[in-house]
Amino acid sequence: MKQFWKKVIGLSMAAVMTAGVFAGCGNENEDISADMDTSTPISIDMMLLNNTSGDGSEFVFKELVKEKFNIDIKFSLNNNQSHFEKLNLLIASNELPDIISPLPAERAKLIGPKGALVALDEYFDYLPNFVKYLEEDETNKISAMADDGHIYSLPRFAPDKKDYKWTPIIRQDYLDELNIPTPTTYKELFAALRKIKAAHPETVGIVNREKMTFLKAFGVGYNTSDTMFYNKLNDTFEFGPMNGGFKEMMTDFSQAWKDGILDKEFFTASEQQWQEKFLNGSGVFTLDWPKRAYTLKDSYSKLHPNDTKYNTTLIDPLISESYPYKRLNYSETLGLWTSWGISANTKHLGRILQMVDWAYSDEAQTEIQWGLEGKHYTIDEDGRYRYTPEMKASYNPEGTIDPMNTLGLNHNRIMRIEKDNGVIEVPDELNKIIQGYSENVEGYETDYKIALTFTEEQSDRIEEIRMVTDTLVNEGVVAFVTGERPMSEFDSFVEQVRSQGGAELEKIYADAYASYKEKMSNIK
Amino acid sequence: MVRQKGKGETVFRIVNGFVMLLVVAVTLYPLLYVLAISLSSAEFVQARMVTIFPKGLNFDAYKEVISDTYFWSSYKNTIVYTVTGTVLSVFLTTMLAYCLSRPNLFARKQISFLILFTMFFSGGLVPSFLLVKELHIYNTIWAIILPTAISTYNMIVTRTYMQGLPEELFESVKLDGANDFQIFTKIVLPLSKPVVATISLFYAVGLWNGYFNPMIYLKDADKYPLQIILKNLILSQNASDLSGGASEALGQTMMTSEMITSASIVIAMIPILCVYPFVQKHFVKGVMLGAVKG
Repeated sequence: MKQFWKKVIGLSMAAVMTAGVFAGCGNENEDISADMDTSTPISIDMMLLNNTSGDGSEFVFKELVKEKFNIDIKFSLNNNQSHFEKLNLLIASNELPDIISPLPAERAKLIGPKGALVALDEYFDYLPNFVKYLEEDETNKISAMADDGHIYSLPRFAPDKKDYKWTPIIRQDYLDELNIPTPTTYKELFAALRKIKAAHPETVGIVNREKMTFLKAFGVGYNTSDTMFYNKLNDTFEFGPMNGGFKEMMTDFSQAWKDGILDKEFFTASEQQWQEKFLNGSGVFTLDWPKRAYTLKDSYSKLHPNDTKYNTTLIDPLISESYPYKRLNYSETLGLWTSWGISANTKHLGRILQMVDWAYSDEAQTEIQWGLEGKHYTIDEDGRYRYTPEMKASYNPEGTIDPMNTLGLNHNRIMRIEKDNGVIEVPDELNKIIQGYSENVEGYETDYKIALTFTEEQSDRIEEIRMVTDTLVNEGVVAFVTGERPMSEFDSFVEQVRSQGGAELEKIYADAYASYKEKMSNIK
Repeated sequence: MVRQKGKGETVFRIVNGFVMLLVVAVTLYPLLYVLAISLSSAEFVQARMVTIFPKGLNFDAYKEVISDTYFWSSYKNTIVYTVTGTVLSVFLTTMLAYCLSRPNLFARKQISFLILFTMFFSGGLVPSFLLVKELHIYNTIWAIILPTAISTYNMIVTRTYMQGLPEELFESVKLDGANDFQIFTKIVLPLSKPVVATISLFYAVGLWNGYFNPMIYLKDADKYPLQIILKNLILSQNASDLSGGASEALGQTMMTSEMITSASIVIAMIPILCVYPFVQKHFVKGVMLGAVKG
């Protein structure tokens, strides 16, 4: 008899628990479905990083969402600094608005598991367009996934976009004048700069506007970086200052400093100072956006109309002994930094998910990126999108409307799908070189698109270590390059960096990378 | 003897004059430079060819700054915040300072200690933010004015000044039947003009230049003060400068961020420049009186 009652009670409890579990799911889905009726107007708050003030009332995105979903988006626009200051405050006080853009995935992975954000994977049924892009490339999903296995970020996808960064720009007229062949390696570049310096003592050689970020920019060619980076040759994450490429780069740069072919303001030059060096003719080489080769030449010719020889041009990326292949870094195709996050406190999850999924649709892509045909853009004969003349663009000198900051077009914190279909307004010869990069040069996204996920403990430790190593590395680099410390002490410097956190950083990254690989193998 | 003294004095005057000229030059140069940059054309600014005289005179940078949709509303907001905030702050600070300057106030030392304590330890940003939210003053003018209405430093300066007023004065007024409020408004405030002018200027400049509190506590762009709008303008120009063709869709920069920054600086400092000469004498006097007691 006792046994019987035990069974009855056990079965009843199991039934109640099962019913509870399903009831929970049922309610959740039901609630969301119930919230998908677009006939009722609603208002949601969206915090957006925008370079100008305003209320976003002219944003095309706002109009489209109102028209299609009956949702009035109340924007809170903030500049870069305010956005992140406010974000910290709103997270700490649990007062996040309905949508936050950007909420970098790195951050979302930490605050999502604590209940601040909606776990989107629980609503994948409502997000088919988003899921399509997320699953297009297996690295996408893993990169966006938090340590608890959930996805809290809505990244921007730009699968066909290749904005090359840090392309080599050189004064071709000097090379021609002195019959110097176009350099292909850093060694050849330094030799060429020495010859130019001898013939034109007023030149300052390499100029830089990146300050200490030059270590990342030049590090591409030397297979190193100022901090942790993915070393493709070894399939490991390494701390740049401790690898061989960094030593090679420091050796070259310290010699260049001695030879007077590294600008004396190399570590400190502002944007204006960098520009000044090219406009007064003293700058010979730099790494920058490809278009700069054209704009520098154009600005120089306006200031010195009689000097027709001046010619800044792009060359192929330079190689080193540490990385004997031409390669260039390009901007994110998986925009984790520009991800959206949805607050767990939102009262309109269903409606927001509807709108979000539409933002990832092909139909929405063109409207969100370019606006309305005829009003904001036209399509060229070759199928490329061109803004109408009243919009500010390099090809519209009379344009007055700022498409990005005023209308929210081509705004990488708004559009969720970005296509590389705008007109290219650079001279043919430069365009040809840029096109050539896609054929002859290894293009890669930062860390080859491997975005690791760290636990909160690991993140805190990384931050602590970097506070020490960043200063140590920056001071060391300046001292070695300027000759304050001899290169013979470089190995002991590396040991110091290793003992003060470099080795531990590599260990943390190795663990995170192992976990990343494991997740990848599970997906496969 | 007399001749030698005259010589020394002459030398001193020459050296002094020279040093003063240098000080004037050092002070004026940045101002003139900023003005020149704001009035020059982009090519000359880019080529660093502008010193203290504008080259390629034009007002494009000012046009750009003034054409911002929120420029005039933000100017109005700043004036409203500054005037209201200053009046309220001065009123509250002088009242508190008066109370604390009276030797017979109950628990005067303890109250002073509690107020002084806030000078060294604050609740922190998050609790302050939550407090402002709970008080329902978030995204209102009061969120800008109330949290900083009384500055402990200004209160101490004022209290020290008031403590220096002769005690006999208070006694005689009391004999005439005046209450504390009458003593405060009819005797103390009129006698404290220098210190009131000083703290008014401190408060006004603080509110005029205030950036952080409006950034944290205001949400709507139509409530933003001038400083936020100017900062955004500068940042948007910087973003255009640095993007350098990252995307063909981006507009070509017709002027540099330096020009916008300079025009913004000139516009932002005009009102303070206009007010300062009138309160300067009180300002110097007030600080001295607050610093040297007895």
